Amino acid sequence: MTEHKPLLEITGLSVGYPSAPRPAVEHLSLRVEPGQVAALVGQSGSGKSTTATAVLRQLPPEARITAGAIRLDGLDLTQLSETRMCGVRGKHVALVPQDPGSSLNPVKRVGEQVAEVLRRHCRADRRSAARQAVELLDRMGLDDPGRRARQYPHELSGGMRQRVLIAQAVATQPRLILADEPTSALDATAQKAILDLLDTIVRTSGAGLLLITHDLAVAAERSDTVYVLHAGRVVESGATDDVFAEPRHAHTRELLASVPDPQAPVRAPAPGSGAPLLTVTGLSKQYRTGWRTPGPPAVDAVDLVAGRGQTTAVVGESGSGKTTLARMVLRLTEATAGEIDFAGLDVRAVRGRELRAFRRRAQIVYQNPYSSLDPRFTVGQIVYEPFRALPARQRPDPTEVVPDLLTRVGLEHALVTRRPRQLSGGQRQRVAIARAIATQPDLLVLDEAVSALDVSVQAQVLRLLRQLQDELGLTYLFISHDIAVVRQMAHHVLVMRAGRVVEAGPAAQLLDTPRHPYTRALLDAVPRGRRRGTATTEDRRTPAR
Amino acid sequence: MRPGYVMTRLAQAALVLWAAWTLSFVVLYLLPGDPVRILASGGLENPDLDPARLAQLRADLGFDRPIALQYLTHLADALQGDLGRSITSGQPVVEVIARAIPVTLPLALASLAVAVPVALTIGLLANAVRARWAAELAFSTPALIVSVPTFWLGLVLLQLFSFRWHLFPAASTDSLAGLVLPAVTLGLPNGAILGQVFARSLSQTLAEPYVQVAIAKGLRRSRVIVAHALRNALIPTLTVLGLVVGNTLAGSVIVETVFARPGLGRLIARAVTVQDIPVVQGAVLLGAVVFVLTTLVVDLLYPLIDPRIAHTAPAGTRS
Repeated sequence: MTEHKPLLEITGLSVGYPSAPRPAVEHLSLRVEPGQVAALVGQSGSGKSTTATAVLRQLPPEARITAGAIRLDGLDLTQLSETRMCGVRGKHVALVPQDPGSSLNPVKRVGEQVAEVLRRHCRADRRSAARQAVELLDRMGLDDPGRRARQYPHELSGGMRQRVLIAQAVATQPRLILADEPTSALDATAQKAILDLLDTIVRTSGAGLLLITHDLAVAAERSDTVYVLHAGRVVESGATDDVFAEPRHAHTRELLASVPDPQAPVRAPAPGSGAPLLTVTGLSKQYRTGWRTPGPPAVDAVDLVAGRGQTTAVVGESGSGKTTLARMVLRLTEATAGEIDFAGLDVRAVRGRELRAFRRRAQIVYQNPYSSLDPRFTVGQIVYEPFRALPARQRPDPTEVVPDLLTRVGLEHALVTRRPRQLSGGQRQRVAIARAIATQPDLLVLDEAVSALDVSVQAQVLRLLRQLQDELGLTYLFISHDIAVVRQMAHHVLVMRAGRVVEAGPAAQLLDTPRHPYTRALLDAVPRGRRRGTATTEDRRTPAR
Repeated sequence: MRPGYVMTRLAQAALVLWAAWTLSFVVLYLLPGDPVRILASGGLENPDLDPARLAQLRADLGFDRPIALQYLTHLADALQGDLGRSITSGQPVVEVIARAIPVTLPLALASLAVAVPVALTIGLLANAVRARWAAELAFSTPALIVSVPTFWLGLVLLQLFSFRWHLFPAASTDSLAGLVLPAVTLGLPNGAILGQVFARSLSQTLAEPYVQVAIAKGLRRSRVIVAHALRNALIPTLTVLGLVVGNTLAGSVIVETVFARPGLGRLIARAVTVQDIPVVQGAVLLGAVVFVLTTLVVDLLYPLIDPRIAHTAPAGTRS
């Protein structure tokens, strides 16, 4: 390689917090070349986002850059005054943030938010900035951009909001774009569209892109070079194709092994099972939007049969009605029409004592293990809590059931006195599962139960769930937006869109030979991370140079 | 906004007014003590009262009829805008109150003119100043101010600014200068409460992802606060502002007593001591009207500040 200056060159960067024993980032070095994509991959807590915020010089006030340099075209950003850094942010370095839901100001029209950057950095007056903002939204592929520009963030979908954020980032034609998990909050179809858009921008503008992601499939498919981060250090780096073809570091291999294989065979049905436990007929939910005006149905005449001991997966993008469906089945939300039969019990009609008995038989595990566990309870109290619904003399001895439940979900007994914040995300979700199986339910609703977890932890929790299902004969209603995860769990799949079931069938049939165009689109949008040994030369992207 | 929403709110308002009126009626009748006896005693401790005269007075004032009948008669009168006559002075309650309003209204407005700038200053100091100690100070001032008893604050202000330095008159209802000290006494604690909420709300807003994105756009800190954080932080502050305005009437009881202003506060204080039921009820009704109106105004302001709040549902859209 000839001697040249890279666009971004980070050398020996260390970032520490006074309260933490170990630095968040340690001796990190990386380069981003113009017109190329460098991926920074790692699990949560590995220091990915700290690196991005260090480049933008937006670290929290208590964090310190203890060593190293961050050079943008040779200019060391760590040495700039705050005033000069203000002129760099947004103009030369732009950010595409993680969560489009909370990254736009809710009380400003999106057009104004895009125009604001132009007015700040490009000396555009109000009118020309507004005009350029509309043009940018148009280039980002928003339909009817003139109208969109006058809308507020809550009126746009997640994918549209991310397009607005990208428009805002590229408005000043920055040289470096930092994309911090730009698609982790989006469903597969929106994810693909956003990644395609970023790709096009990099190719046509010659900007460099630092793509921060926990998703190895995304990194493999979209980057030219990759840096694998583990506990604040780069453990492996190189050309993406080389690293994924022949990973040298154990951590990289571990990460790769946990990526769900989009071609993996689906689960064989558990023997001797399948008699229906839950039968849902014509279930609908309609929220009122006005005095007497019914809104569009959130769930529209859904039929579903969940076989005993099997996993019935409900797939669909955010807002498709999956969670509302699950909540109606558990009687956490009242349905407006339809029937729910649970082993002969009319779920929509049960009241009082019967309803409470039903609740013990049908449990739920939520997506976010951070907010679904009471922070003031210990692990032991959380797991034992379902028994407190029983009359005192029927309650089992906590010293017997709690260790047993913890063992079942693969947690050490020593954790029993810990509180949720002292646990990792995976441990928390295991606690939530232990709580859910405490009352020996028949049905377990898993509402995006592994979506917030890192891939390697996700794989472990999925393994645990399969094992528990085999041991306890549990019936799962598995809600997910992630087809790759569904493939590992489901015996039976329903695809939902805008409240309706567009396709349903056995997992093997539906996932391998989808009939409905929407199912096909969902399946096609799954990033095919070129896994070791399965990649062919043709599907490798030639680096844009 | 839909006509259905406005109708619902008006119905709610009517319900609140009726409940306030009824509750005050019940409470006042349950109180120990006999308004007729207080009236006839003329302020003496244990006067010798002629039972026949007491009975006559009782009958004249309608206190001898069954309580349900009294309630219904008064309610019917109230619905026609007749709130009865003051037991002590014999004047119509509506007139008594109408005379006191022009004294209290300027005080209430002036106290708001003190409270709002105080709140803004506290909130901005707590969040926009880089010096850590200044921010800490701004965060802790509200607790300090609120913990000072209002009447004591009023007395101290009087002592210093009127008697020692002769800057403002001690008691003057017709000059603007006379309004300053009472307005500060009433406005300072209100401003502190508002400032506390505003400071917390602003610091929470500044931690939001969209504020980080705004900083990443290269905006200067002043612009980030003014253009992005301020409006979002205003929503909880506005809720509390509504309550503060509603509470001004209660606050005026102390302030008007200290500064000897013949306003609604003084009127209420005196009417309660002598159990002048019609006047107290009139004041309660007025307080309820003020509360209902301010909540309505606040609720109508929400969607102007936050486009996510739209008055489409019949009720329960208030955040």
